[in-house]
Amino acid sequence: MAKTYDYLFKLLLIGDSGVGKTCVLFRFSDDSFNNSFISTIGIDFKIRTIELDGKKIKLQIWDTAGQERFRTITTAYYRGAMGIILVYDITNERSFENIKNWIRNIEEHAASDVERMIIGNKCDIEERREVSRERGEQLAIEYGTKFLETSAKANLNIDEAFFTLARDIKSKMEQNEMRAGGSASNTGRVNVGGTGTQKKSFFSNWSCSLL
Amino acid sequence: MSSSNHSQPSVSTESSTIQTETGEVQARTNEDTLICKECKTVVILKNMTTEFLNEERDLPLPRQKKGIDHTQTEPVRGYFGVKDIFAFENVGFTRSSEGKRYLVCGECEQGPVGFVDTLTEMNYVTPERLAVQQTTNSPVEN
Repeated sequence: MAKTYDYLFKLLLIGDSGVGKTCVLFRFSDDSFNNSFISTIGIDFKIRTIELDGKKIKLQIWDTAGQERFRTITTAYYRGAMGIILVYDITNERSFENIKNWIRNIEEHAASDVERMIIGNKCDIEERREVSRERGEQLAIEYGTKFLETSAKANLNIDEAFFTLARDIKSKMEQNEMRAGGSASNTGRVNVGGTGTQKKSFFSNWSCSLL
Repeated sequence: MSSSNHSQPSVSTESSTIQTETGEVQARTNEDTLICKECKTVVILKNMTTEFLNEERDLPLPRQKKGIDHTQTEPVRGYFGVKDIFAFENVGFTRSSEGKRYLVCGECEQGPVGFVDTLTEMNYVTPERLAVQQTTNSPVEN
């Protein structure tokens, strides 16, 4: 069957346990889902389809499934990853400090050209904030990554985070293609066989809250 | 629980109203774009699937009753199948539960709306747990 999309990006979420990675990607931690079959068994990965500059992009997004607790995130998990969202919790200083360790882990195990982004999550809980926005921004500058504060709970900046990362990967890929004279090598670029697009606000409800 | 063995595509008529006990697989694409019943997100665009599995399978109920130690299921008949996971627009794949993996809405995680056949690696979604996207020319129904 002809491919119906232009790019395919594999994205990962990384960070300490409890920072809300799962909330950024999945909703099943919500109380109202306690009774659901899905919340019990958990979700491995998602496929989401977005449109950027008229290009249809498939995102395959993986959560760590709690492996971070055992520090067992290694090469296998990073394989093929083109983008990594590093998540800390603004109400948890330690999770912020550990971003440096996660970046070291990425440098050790992931592809050297993987696109990275740092997210300070739970910005809806201002009264318990331990990490200022400025420190987050400073860290991002230090590592040359984009930065956003998000609230999975309030559905703030979650869309933006995924779109920003996807846009950065796409730009990098297009630059590489131009440099390589159009020869596609190990990129997410695929041949276009047709298009079927529809308008929708993607990730619009992608938060920890039910509709 | 019924076995997950696929019956061979048996001798059949072209009719789409076969009601055998064993069920069967037909080459068939989905005529409609299928969306989530809850949040209306597109799960799969039309003309993406390659087969129709006319079989009854037990799917877990989206809502489980409290205080019951086993998974409550109901038999659901009829699934569109496709091998390529990227044929889907928005879908989630669950972790394995008792050797089975399920498909859910990629946005709100309503489901299961289908399952993965671990032997054939085919991915199946059922119209029974999804809604049909109305075309813009037809009267709006929601």
